[in-house]
Amino acid sequence: MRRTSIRRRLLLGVAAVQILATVLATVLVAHHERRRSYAVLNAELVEHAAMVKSVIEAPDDPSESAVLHRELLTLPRHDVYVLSDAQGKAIAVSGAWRPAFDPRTVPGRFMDAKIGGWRYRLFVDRNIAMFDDNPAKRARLPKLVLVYGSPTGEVEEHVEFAERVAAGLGLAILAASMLAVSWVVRAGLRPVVQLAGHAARIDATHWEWEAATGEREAEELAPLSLSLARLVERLQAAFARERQFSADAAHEMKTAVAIVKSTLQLALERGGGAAEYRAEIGRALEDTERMQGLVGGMLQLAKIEGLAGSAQVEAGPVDAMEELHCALRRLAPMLEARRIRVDVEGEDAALCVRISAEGLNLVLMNLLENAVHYSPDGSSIQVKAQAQGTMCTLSIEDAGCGIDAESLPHIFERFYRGDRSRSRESGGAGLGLAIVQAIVHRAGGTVTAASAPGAGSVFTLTLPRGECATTE
Amino acid sequence: MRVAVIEDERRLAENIAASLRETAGFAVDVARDGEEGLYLAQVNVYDALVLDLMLPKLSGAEVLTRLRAAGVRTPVLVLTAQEGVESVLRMLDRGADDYMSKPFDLRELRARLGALIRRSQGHAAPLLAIADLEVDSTRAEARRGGVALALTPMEFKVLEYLMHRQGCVVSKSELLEHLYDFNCEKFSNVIEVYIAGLRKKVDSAPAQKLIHTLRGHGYMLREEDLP
Repeated sequence: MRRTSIRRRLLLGVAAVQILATVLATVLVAHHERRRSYAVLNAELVEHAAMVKSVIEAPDDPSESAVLHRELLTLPRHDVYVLSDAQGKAIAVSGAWRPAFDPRTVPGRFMDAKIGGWRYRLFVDRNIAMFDDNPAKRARLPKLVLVYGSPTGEVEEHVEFAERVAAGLGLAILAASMLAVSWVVRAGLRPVVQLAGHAARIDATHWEWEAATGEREAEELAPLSLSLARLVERLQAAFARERQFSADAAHEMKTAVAIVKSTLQLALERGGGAAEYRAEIGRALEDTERMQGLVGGMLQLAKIEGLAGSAQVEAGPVDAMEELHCALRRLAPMLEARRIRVDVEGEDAALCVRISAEGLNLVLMNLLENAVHYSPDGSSIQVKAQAQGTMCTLSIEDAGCGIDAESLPHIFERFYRGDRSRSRESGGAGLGLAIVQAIVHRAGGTVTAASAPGAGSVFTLTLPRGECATTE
Repeated sequence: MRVAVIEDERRLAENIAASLRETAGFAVDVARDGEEGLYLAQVNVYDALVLDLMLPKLSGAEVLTRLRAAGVRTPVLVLTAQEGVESVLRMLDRGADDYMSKPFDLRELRARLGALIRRSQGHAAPLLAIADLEVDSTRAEARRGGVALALTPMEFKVLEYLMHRQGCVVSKSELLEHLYDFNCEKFSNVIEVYIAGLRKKVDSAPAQKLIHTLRGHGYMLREEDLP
């Protein structure tokens, strides 16, 4: 990929604009200078022509030609002139030059021509009246035509010089200002460069972001700097969560393995007969069940969270009441053994929610098992289901020991161990509620817990409502 | 030897305790959380503690810090499932004497614990000796003048403890503290029975008497006769 540089582009842009301005200024100066110089030259031509006119002597007889007293004239060295009569016959010529055109037909007073390889400006006076003291004679004298020319080389040189001066000055200013602009651009871009430098330092191992004041204060950079800071913060949090998760997972796995290993080792050390070994193997098998649950939970969580990233899976709708009763039927033996009653208060009709049947089943089983687990024997569990606008709420309330305020905000975290002594007894790895939350969030719902220690807990599930296919 | 296992995993604690009781012949108390562990370690006299790091109520690190702050010098072997050398270094800095990573080998746990106890009582080798009496704690054997003594497990434990503390007065209550966990009924005349049995087996034939009784104080194992 070709790399581009903002600084270089800015400098090139400024340089281009400045060069254009210099060229334009030079052209304007040259144009103005040329006009002014030619105006002066024209005035000089008229003046010199007047001098020539002043030394014309009228003939005594009007039929004769006039006489030009050349000796009285002091004209610039390279100037040329041709004095001719009305018929075009030359009366006096400055040198060998003859105009290649008929002066009488020249439309304006001035024209440019090339004489002997040099550029000249010519002044044409077509109506020269000769002077005579006798007015009658004066009226009969023929009109003369004078073409007077001066070389334009000097004027052109002057204009060229003015052009050079203008261009030179322009270039000098350009060079000076480019230095200044380069410094200004560099200084102006410093926060951007710093920001880029800081951003470049972020990598997988170094997740820190500290923007310099310049970066935070610059109006243009503040949003970028701020959003980078937020991004880094979020990523840091995500990485920390992942690290925590893998550390916790490793801890749980190692502990589970340690238990199985110690049980088996103890069995070997104890020795004994088949009956003793059988008992020990039974214990080891129980210990592996915990490991199995842990692995299953982790895989489940990984699967749900993996799905969350991909396209939404076609979910539901499913009848929440039906799933609820299904879950209760599965829990019936446990409920019966513990003499726990479940009161369901809810819609008679189907309560449709947009979630996969499998997901809802997992959520309900987890929450109900929890409720049963923490409920004292012989107590009752209240389940309420109702539709509220576009959402459905389902609450499960137990009369257990409750959750202390310190643990309450964390119970949905994976492997949360604040209340570990309790969860350990149940053999859970602290993944159940995390799985519940992951499933519910994926379906666009929420799950919350409220509790007063000693007075039981309420888990409230909110799920988006769906349209069920008509059920008979 | 009496050991406390502070570990919240019920099954793991049970297994460690069973292994230490059955194979090493230790008296073992089990605490299931940090608070209980700290309490036990402060009120009882243990020869060593096995401490898990992740404990409810009070973390293993906190238990260790408080124990050391309270001046308890019992050797502590830490059980950890955490990754990385940092947590190990932190534990050693806080006053742990050794550590083992889960999952561990029960035999290694017993060996390390035995070494910790020996060292804490000033012996580096597993073979303890006084005069011509030798006690091998790893093999649970005692010999006098090269002849193996037929001791009951409890007699061996009493002798082993006296050997560890040779030259010091060991009271009956101290022996009880170190030889029984809190699940056992404690009767001080049990000790007298064991001592009598030991005298018969250890001090019978040879001229040199090693087990001495300080009336009203306790027992002492030393070469010279009491003045």
